Amino acid sequence: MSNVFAETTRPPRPHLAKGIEQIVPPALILIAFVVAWEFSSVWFGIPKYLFPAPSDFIGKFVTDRSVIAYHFAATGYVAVVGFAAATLIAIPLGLAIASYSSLRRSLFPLIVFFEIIPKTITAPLLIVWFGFGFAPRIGLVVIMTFFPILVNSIAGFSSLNPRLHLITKSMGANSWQTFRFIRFPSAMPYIFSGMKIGMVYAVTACITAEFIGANEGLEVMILTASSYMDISLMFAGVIATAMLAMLLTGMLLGLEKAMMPWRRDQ
Amino acid sequence: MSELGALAKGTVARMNFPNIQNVRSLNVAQEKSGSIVASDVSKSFGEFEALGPVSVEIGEGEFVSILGPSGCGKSTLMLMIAGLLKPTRGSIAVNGRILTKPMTDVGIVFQDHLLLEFRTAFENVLLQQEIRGLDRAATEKRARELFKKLGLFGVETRYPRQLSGGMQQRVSIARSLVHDPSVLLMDEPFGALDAISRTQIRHDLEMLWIETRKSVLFITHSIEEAIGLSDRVLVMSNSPGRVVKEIRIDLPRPRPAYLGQYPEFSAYADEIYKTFEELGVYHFK
Ligand SMILES: Nc1ncnc2c1ncn2[C@@H]1O[C@H](COP(=O)(O)OP(=O)(O)OP(=O)(O)O)[C@@H](O)[C@H]1O
Ligand SMILES: [Mg+2]
Repeated sequence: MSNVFAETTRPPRPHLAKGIEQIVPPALILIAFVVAWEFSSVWFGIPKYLFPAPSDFIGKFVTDRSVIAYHFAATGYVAVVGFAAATLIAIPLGLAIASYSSLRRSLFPLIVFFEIIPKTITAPLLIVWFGFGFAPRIGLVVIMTFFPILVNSIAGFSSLNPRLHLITKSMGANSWQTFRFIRFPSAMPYIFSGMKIGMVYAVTACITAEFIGANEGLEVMILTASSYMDISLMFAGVIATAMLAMLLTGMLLGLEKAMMPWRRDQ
Repeated sequence: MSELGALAKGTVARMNFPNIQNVRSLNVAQEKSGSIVASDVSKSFGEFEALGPVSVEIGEGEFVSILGPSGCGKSTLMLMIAGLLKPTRGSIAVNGRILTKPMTDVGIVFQDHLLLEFRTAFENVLLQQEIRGLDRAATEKRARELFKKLGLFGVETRYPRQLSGGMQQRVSIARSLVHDPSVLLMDEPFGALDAISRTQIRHDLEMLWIETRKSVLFITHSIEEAIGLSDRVLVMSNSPGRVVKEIRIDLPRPRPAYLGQYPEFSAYADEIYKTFEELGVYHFK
C-alpha cells in the first residue's frame, strides 16, 4: 500500500569502514615518525646521550615501571582533584553570574582582571600558604582550570533561547525542573568546551607546580633523572606526561559523548 | 486510500483514544472545561502597538480559528491567552477566573515548534510526562499512538536537527496533545507541512476534536483550513490587529477533504476574501 507519510530510515552507518578510515592514516604517520626517530641517530648522527631513540626509553616503561607508575599516579591525582574542585566551583558560580545581571556587572571586571594574570606567578604564594604537600599543587590546578570553565559556563547559561521558557511555563515546571530539563542541557556544550580547555591546563599546572617544589610527580621524576643524566628516563617521563594528558582528555571526551548523545556525528 | 487515512479513521473511530481517561485521571486538580474570555485585550511593545484591543471568546469545547495578515498580532494574542505574556490592557479569564499565571491545562503548538535540540523526538513529547508527573507507561503508549496518527514513523529516536521541518512540526503537535489538555492553542501548526499532509492532518485533528471536544484556538493563514475546521472564524485586520469579522461555520462534521462540494463553503470563503479586500490586505484590479 502506498503511504505518503512513510519515512525511510537511514541505512546503518558502516562503522567499521569509517573507523578504519579514521584510524589508519594517523597511525601510519605515527609509525613513520617513530621509525624516523629510531634511526635518526644513525641517519643524522645525533648522539644518543642527548637524544635517545624510542627503543632506549620505551624499555624504561618496563624496567622502571613502578617508579613511573608512582609519579604518574601522583601527578594524575593532583590534576584530577584540582580539576574536579575547579569544575564544582565554576559551574554553579557561572550559573549564578549568568542568572543575576547585577552579579554579572559587579563580578565581571574582577573575573577579567584575574583571568589576565599569568596564573603561574601565584605558585610561590601558594607554597607560602600551603607548604610543600599536595595542597599548593592542587591549588594551582584549581586556579588555572577555574577561569576557562567559569567563562564558558557563564556563556552557556546565558545562551539559552528565552522562548524555551514558554514550553516549561506552560507545563507548570518549577525552577528546578526548568534548570534540569532546559537550562543545564542547553549550557552543557559550552561547559564541556570549557572543561576541555581546563583539562589541558590542569596537566600543565601540575607539571609547573612540581617544577617549583614537590616530592613526587612526573616532573619531579624528570628533574631527578636529569641530575643523574638519565636521559632515557627523562624522555619516558615526557611520554608518560603526554599519556596522562591524553588519558584525562580522552575520559572527558568519553563523558561528553555519553552526556550529550545529541551531538554525536555532527 | 492512504495507510494513514485508514489508520486515522480506524484508530479514532474504533480505538476511541483508549488512554484519554487514563491520562486525564492523572491530571490532578485541573479544571476540565476550558472556556476562555479575552476582554478588550491589547498589547504594546514599548511605543509600538502590536495588537488590539480585541475581545475573543472561546466556549467550552469550541473550535475557533483566527485568520489575519502577517504581523497583525495573532501569535501575541495566543501567548497572552496562554498566560505567557501579560496584556498591556484588558484581561483574560479561563473558566471564569482571571488569568494571573501561565495556563497549564493546555497544549500549545508554537509557531517556531520550540523543540529541545537535546531531546529525541519521543523525549520531546515525553517532557510533558516528566514535568507534569504523569504516568510513564500510559503517556508513552499515547505518544506512540499520536506518532502513528501523525505519520511519524521510525523517528522516535531522532534529534530535532535530524528531522525535516514538517516532521518537527508534527512532533510539536504530538507534544501538545499527549497529556490530553482541555485547551489547545495552535499557532499555524500545519504551516511547515506540504499540501497533501495538511489535508490529512486537518482531518485527523478534526476527528480528534470530535472525540475529545477540547477548546481550540487555531491560528492559520489558510482560509480553507479555517473553514474546514472551525465552529467560528475570526478575521483580523492589519496591525495593530482587531477582530473585524466573525463567521459562524455551519457545515456538517466530519468535513471532507474537498470542501468545494458545499455551496456554503464558497460563500464563507468569499466573505473572508471580501473582508480582506475591504481592509486593504488585498489589492486586486
Ligand atoms: N517580543 C516582541 N517585542 C517587540 N515586538 C514584538 C514582539 N513580539 C511581537 N512583536 C511585534 O508585534 C507584531 C505582532 O507580532 P505577532 O508575532 O503576534 O504577529 P502574527 O500575527 O503572529 O504574524 P505572523 O502571521 O507573521 O506569524 C509584529 O509587528 C511584531 O514585530
Ligand atoms: Mg505568528
